[in-house]
Amino acid sequence: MKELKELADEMTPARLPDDLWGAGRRLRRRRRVGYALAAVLVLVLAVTLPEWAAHRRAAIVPADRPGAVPSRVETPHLWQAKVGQWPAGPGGPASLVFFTGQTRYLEGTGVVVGTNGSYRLIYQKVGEGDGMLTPDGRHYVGPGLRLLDLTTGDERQLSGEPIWGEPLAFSPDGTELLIGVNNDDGVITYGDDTVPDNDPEKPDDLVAVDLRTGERRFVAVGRMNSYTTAAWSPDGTRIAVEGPVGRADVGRRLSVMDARTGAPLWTVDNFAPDRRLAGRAAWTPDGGLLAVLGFEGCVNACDQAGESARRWRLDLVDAGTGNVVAQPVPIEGLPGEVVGWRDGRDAVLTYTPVRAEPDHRTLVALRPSGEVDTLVDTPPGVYNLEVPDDLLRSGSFGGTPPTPSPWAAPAWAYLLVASPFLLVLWIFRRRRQRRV
Amino acid sequence: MAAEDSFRDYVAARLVSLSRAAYLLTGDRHLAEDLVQQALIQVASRWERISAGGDPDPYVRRVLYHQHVSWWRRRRLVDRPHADLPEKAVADRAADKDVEITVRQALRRLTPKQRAVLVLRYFEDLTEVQTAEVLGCSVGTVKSNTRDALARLRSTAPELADLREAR
Repeated sequence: MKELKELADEMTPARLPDDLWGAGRRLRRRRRVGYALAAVLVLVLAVTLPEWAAHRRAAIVPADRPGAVPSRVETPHLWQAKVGQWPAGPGGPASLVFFTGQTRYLEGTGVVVGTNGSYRLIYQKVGEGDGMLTPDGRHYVGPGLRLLDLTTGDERQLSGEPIWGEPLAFSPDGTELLIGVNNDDGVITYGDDTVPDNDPEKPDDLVAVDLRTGERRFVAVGRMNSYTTAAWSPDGTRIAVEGPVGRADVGRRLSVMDARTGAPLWTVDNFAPDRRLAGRAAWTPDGGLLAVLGFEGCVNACDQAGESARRWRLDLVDAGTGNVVAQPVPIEGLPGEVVGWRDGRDAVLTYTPVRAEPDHRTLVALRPSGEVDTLVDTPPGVYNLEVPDDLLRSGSFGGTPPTPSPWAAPAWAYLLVASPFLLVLWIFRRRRQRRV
Repeated sequence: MAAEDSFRDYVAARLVSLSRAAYLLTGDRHLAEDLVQQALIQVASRWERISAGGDPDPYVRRVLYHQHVSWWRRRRLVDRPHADLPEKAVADRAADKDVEITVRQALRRLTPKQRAVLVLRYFEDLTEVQTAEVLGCSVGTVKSNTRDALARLRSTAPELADLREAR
């Protein structure tokens, strides 16, 4: 077609820049950087997406799914996501929660380890007490009865006004939580040792709260300055409670009462200061005996060395009379609280194996001979841990130690990592747009 | 440096032909210069691979035509296309060449792909198969684009009635 050729003849050869070759080389470099960034992005997505999917699946795992308590846990990453924090998701029902100051908050923080091996943080305000896990491991009960659903990340206030006090123990069927309600109204009373004590004029109340409905039931009104330990009998009919009485908390009272009416079945008013009710699982599984922790050593105004030097033992007393009925079981380290029983015989308790290292709390089974089997080990800095009652009762221990996933991070962590790449991409794009 | 030299030799040999094709594609000298520059920068960025394959022409041609289509797509977002471009822009440059004016105006009424097909077939003298390879489409698409382009040319420029669909 000659017209086209004639038209084309109008065109003189295009003028070219001197550094045409150099421009091509620069384009090649930019392209390679772009490919590298794309490869990194694909790699990140390839690793992250399955993790996200796993977390999403975990969120809908039924709470009664059988699981195992891991034999060891690790300190979470500094950027670990909180429960329910996007995009990591909630993490699912807990196999345990431990409390440590080794997080980005530099204060006491709850770390939930899910039955699927996920790690999620629970932020605690300064001075906030540790919460408890519901028996099915699905909820974390925080101060003031705030319920954090670990499978969805939703947090809600149990109906009614917040209850400020110490959560003590769940009923055997897991429906009611015993709370020692603080009635001191902020009044500080000093005893002879100038240590703030509970005001004996304002004794605390023992309240059972139904976690399904929020209904509150007074089990005991008054009676003790405060309720430090409570344990529900395995058949749910009796409650053993211990706490200080008298001015300056000088006396201690141990009482077993009817779980429905609160009527005392028996009471020891001068419970020795070197003994204490062993914990929320103080009743032996058959309901016949109560575990009491006792020690030999410094009792009053002790320094840390004096407290560390105490020799501890586990006594078993008749639940009907309070009399010691078995040989004491010696304890080598520092006991925390009896939280369950293994094979109906070995007490399962939180435990500090080395007396000089109070911030290394483990979970152990104490044999009648005094030997301990470590069920859950923790890294240094862990000062408390909780295992859901259902897993304790089923004896599901020895699970594979999970490793905290670095990908279970909040969105800001991803943004922080991605920002240099995004900046480079933005600069490239802007330069390209300018050229066009 | 050998690669750079061979690239410079290639550009020197093919610049006229590339510039003319670009002019037919864009219908504007400045745009044609830009198009050639951009295409050659792309070619320079991959020159070692291109030259290793023997004849660089097919690849260079492909870059030029794809760059043109992609330009048109990108500019469409910022510069709205004109169905009827002002005639003044070309009328004063080629007042004495009526046929060329007619061809230029007719070309401007084609889509970028139709224009590319026309230039490849009737200016570069490529076969339908070669044209399909350059544009990365099927031979059927080349045929239909050629047919549509010629039909539009005939309707807008009856002087070009001697054009034939098939070579």
